Amino acid sequence: MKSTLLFLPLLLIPNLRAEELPPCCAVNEVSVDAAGSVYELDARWTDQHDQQTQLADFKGQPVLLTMGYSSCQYACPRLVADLIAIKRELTATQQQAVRFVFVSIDPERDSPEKLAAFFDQYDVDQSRWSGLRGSDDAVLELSVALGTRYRQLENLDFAHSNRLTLLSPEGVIVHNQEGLGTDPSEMLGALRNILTTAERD
Amino acid sequence: MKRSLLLFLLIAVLSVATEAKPAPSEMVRVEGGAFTPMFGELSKPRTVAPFLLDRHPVTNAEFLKFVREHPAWRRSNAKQLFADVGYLSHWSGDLELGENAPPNAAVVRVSWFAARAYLKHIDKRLPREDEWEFAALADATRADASKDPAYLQRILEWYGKPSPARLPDTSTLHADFRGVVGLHGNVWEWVVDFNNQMVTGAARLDSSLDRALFCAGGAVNATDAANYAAFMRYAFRSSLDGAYTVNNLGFRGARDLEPTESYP
Repeated sequence: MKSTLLFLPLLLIPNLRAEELPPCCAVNEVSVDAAGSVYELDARWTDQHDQQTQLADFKGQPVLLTMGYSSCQYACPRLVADLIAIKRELTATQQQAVRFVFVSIDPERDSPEKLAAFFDQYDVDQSRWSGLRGSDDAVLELSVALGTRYRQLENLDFAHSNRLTLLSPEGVIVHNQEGLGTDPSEMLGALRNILTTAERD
Repeated sequence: MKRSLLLFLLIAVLSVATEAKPAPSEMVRVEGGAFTPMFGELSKPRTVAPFLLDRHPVTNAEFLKFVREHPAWRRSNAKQLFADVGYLSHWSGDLELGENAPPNAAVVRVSWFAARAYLKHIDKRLPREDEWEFAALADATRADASKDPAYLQRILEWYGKPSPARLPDTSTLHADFRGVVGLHGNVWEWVVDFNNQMVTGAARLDSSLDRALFCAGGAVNATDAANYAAFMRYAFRSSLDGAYTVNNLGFRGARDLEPTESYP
């Protein structure tokens, strides 16, 4: 019964066309030319190594990306833990083929040093993990492209979406994982799909 | 004598330098102030700095000129990440307005990305949500009519009516006391930070939030349940995505004042 109810909204939409499907499902139906790529956003960022970068520099590999801030006490450590949990499910070779990106929504406080120290807490391979700091406008633009919501509160904390996004090697949004501690099997399926296609090619 | 002349000149130069530039004719200066947004942290007044706001929403003719000059933003070229399939779908073609898009009516069916690109090319920006809401407190005679039940009722009546297929010429819309037209009673309008609300889809009209989906989401709540009109706007914005286009959602430009002033 519950599953019928879940699909009810879909049944109510007549002649659902490929271009009306959410990005997760539509990516296989449309070319990157029609879908649009996150790599078209040309804002400049600084990573935790104090190196200038643009998102398009990640082109050619699948990217797992989340937005948060390093002084976040509740969700952000768990978002990183969720990224690490996904990584652990991959083979050693696959792990080296994925880029992990944490974009700060708190550029005022998240200096490169602070983002490096944040990663240090999790002992992640900082040659495969990027912590990005950009202008307020760059952060807002990316958040809108990813469908991530955030808001700074009076106490300087942030309310924000808990969302992991998978980008294809061309920068197309392939899948979003919502919530904390979510079963990552769908995300893993989409990621492995990209990795095996790349291995085959 | 020389010293006092120098001092006089210095004061004269300084006063010219700090004098606010006059607003361009298509914009008005909105004096800032403190206000408590309808939806935010409980009982926390926010400060809006003075800013410039377009008198009219951007029209079809103005947007047509933009897409002529920027082919990437023509209907058939726009990418789905930045504008959905409804983008400018009421126009007759990429570069033809047609009968459903009168030249001087507000342009609608534009995404946040398209609106932002348009405004960037004329050195403007979308108003912030606080700025838009602050300006929209006004009616024809007052800066803040939000406590007047008649004002609220008029807005709610508009929200209850379906949008006409052909929107009116912006010159026919009623002006508020600043000379700004169409903030209410015409189309909904994009704000730059529309994505700052964390209301879940299932609970969009409920102020309780899902902590698993949104960190610290519960801190953001409704402040003035009586102002249902504003509540509807916040709820509507929370349902939007940057690529969405809607048949009654347009936009207008804003600009910071130079030099940037901070309200005390």
